[in-house]
Amino acid sequence: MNEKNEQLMEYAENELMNKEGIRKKVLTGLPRRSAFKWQKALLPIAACFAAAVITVFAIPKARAEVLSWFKTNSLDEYLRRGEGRRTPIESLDEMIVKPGDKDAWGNEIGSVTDNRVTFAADEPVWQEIKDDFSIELGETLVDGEKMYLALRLGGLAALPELDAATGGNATRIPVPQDQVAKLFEDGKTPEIFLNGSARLWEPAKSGVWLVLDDGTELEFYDLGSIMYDPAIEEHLRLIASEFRHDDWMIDEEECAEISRRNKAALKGCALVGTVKFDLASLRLVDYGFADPMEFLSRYADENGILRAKAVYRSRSLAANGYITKLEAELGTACFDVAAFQRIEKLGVKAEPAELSSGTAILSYAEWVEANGRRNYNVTNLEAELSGVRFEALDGAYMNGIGLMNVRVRVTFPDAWSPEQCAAFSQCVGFYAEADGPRFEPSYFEREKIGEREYLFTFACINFPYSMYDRAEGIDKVRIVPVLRHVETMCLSNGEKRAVPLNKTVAKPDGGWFEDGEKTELTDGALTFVKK
Amino acid sequence: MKEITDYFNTVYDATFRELTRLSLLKAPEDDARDLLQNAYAKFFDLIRRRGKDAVRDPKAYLTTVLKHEIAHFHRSRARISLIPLEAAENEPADENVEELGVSDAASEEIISLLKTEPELTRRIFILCYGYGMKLGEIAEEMGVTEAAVRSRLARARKRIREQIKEENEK
Repeated sequence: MNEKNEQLMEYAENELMNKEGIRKKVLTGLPRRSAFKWQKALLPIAACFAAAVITVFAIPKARAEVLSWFKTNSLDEYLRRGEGRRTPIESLDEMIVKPGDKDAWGNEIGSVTDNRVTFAADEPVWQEIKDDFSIELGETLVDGEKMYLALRLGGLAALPELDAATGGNATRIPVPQDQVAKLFEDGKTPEIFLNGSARLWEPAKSGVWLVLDDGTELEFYDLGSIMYDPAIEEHLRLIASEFRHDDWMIDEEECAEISRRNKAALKGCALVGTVKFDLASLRLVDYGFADPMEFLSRYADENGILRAKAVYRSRSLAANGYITKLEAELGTACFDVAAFQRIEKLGVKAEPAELSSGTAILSYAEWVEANGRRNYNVTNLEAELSGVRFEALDGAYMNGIGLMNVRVRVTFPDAWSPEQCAAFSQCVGFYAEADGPRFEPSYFEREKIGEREYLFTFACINFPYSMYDRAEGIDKVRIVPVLRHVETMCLSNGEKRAVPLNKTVAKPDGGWFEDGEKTELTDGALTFVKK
Repeated sequence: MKEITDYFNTVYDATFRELTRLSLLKAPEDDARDLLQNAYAKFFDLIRRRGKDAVRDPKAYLTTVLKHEIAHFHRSRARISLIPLEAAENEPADENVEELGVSDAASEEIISLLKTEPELTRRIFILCYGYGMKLGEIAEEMGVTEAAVRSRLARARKRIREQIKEENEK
C-alpha cells in the first residue's frame, strides 16, 4: 500500500467534500439533499402540470369530463359501488378477490370472524359503541402493489366522539367527523368555545391500521375521508344544521337530547368505504431503519411475505396524544415483498459446529439502577469456549436485497453461568461470506430462547451493487462467528478507560465508544447452500 | 441537545475521513457530498430522537448507512457505469506510477494543479496518493480495469510534472 498523505486527505475532506459545510447543514436540520439532480430539473415542469391538473379538477364540469375519459373514476370508487351497481369491467373484476379466496394477496383479510373487538375503553360511551359495533369486509382488489379493502361499518363504530362540556359536566355526543371538521374550518382551531358554556373538542380519529406483531404501525387509512351512505348523509346534514347556530347556547338537557337523537338515528345505518394500502410506500417509507430494504428484510419471512394485522381503531385526543378507545381486528394482510424480485431459500449444508478448545474474554454490559440514576457497567469475564455449539437454521437470498432472515442457534455448555451466556451473546457477531466476499450484518437481533440457548437473526443487505443482479443467485453462504469484547471505553472528551479482566467499569457521563479487537471463531463456521 | 450535538461532532470528526474515502470511491464528487450529508443527517436524526445510546458502534452504522445511500444512488441512476470505460488500456502506462513518493504529492502546488484535472482523475489521484490505496483496490471498487486507473494516474502525473517544470522555467 502507498503511504498516506495528510495534505491530500485534508484537501479531499475540506475542499472536495466541504466538511464544515456538511456539518453545518446536518446540525441546522436542513433537508437531506437529493443526489438525483435530473429530478430537480423536472420540478418546474411537474409544478406546471400539477397546477393545470388542480385547476381542471377544481371545476366540477371539467373534472367530470376528465374522469369520464376513464371508464371509472378510481379503483376504490369501483369497489365501493358494490357488485349490483357496477358496469362490469373485465380487467378490474379479474383483480377482485373475496375474503378467504386462496392464493391471493390479502387472503387472510376477513379471516377474523369472532370477537372482533379486541379492546374497548371502560367509559360507557365506548362500551355502548362496542355493543353496536359491526364490521364487514366485502371484497379486496389488488392493483399491482396497491390493495383496496371494501368495508361496511355498522352501528356507531365509525363515528368520532365529540365532547361537549356543559357547565363543567362533559357529555359525549357522537357527531360525524366530516361535519365536525366543517365546523372547525371557520375558527381554524380544534376547539370552539360556545358562549363560555360549552366547547367542542377535536374529534376522535377513526381508521384502519396495518400493524406488525411488535406494534410497529405501517400505514393507516383515515375513515374521515370516506363517503357516507345517502341516508346517513341526509341525517347528518340535519344534525349539523342544528349545530350551526351562530349563537349556540347548549345546556345539558339540549346536549343530551341531541346525543340521544343522533345515536338513535345512526344505530341502524352503515358506513361503506374502501381503504387502500400501498406496498410501494412501504418500500419507500423510512421506519427508523437505515434503508427501507433493511426494514423489509427484517419483517418479511423467508418466502418474502410481509404479514401485517389490519385493525380498525377509534382514537381520542388526550393530553398526551391520541389514545385508542376501540380496536377491532379485521385479519391479516399479506404483501408479497418478493413479487418483483427473485428469492431463494438457503439450505443448511454443514452439521452443527462445536468449539473444542480455547478461552475468551467476554464483556457483560448492563444498565443498573442505583441512587436514582441509571449507570452503564461493563464487566469482563473469562470463559472456556469448549462446548459452545453453533447451529444453522435457515435463511434466504433475495435478489436486489441480499441475505435475509439468516438464523443461527447458539447453545452454551452446562458449566457456564447465566452471566457468561449473556456476555457471549452480547459479544458475538457474525460475518457472512456469500460466494466468497465477506459482509457484516446490517440488521442483527438476539433472542434468549432457553436457559443456555440464544437465537440470532440477521440480514446482510450491504452487498455491493455488482452483486445485486446476479442472475445465478448465491450458491454458498458461510457464516463465521466473531467475538469482540470491550477493551477500552473511549469517551467523547478523548479519555480512554481500560476494562480489566474480572473488573466492572462504569461509564462516566457523556458519549462513549467501546473499542476492542475482533477474534474469529473459525471452528464455529457454518455453511448454507442454495436449496 | 448540546450533549447530542457534542456527541455528533465527536463522531463526525472521527469518521469523516474514512467516509470521504468510501464516498469518493463510489460516486462523483458532487454526489459523494450529497451522499455523505444524507448519511450524517440520518445518524443525527436517529441520535436526536433516541439518544446517544441508540447506536453502539457509530462508525459501523455510518458506514452501513453510507453504503445503502450509495447502493440506492446507483440503483436509481439506472445502473450507469461509474467510470466511462474508455480505451484507457491503450494509453502508455507509467511503470513507476506506484513509486511516486509521498513528498512528491505533498506540495500545495500539486494540490492546486490537481484542481484542473478531470474530476475522475482527481478522485483516483487522491485515493491513491492521499489515502494510500493500491491501484488494484481502487480499480476493483470502482469496477474498472487496473490499466484504466494506472493510465489516468500516469497522464495526471505527466501533466502535473510538465506544469511544474514550466512554472520553474519561467
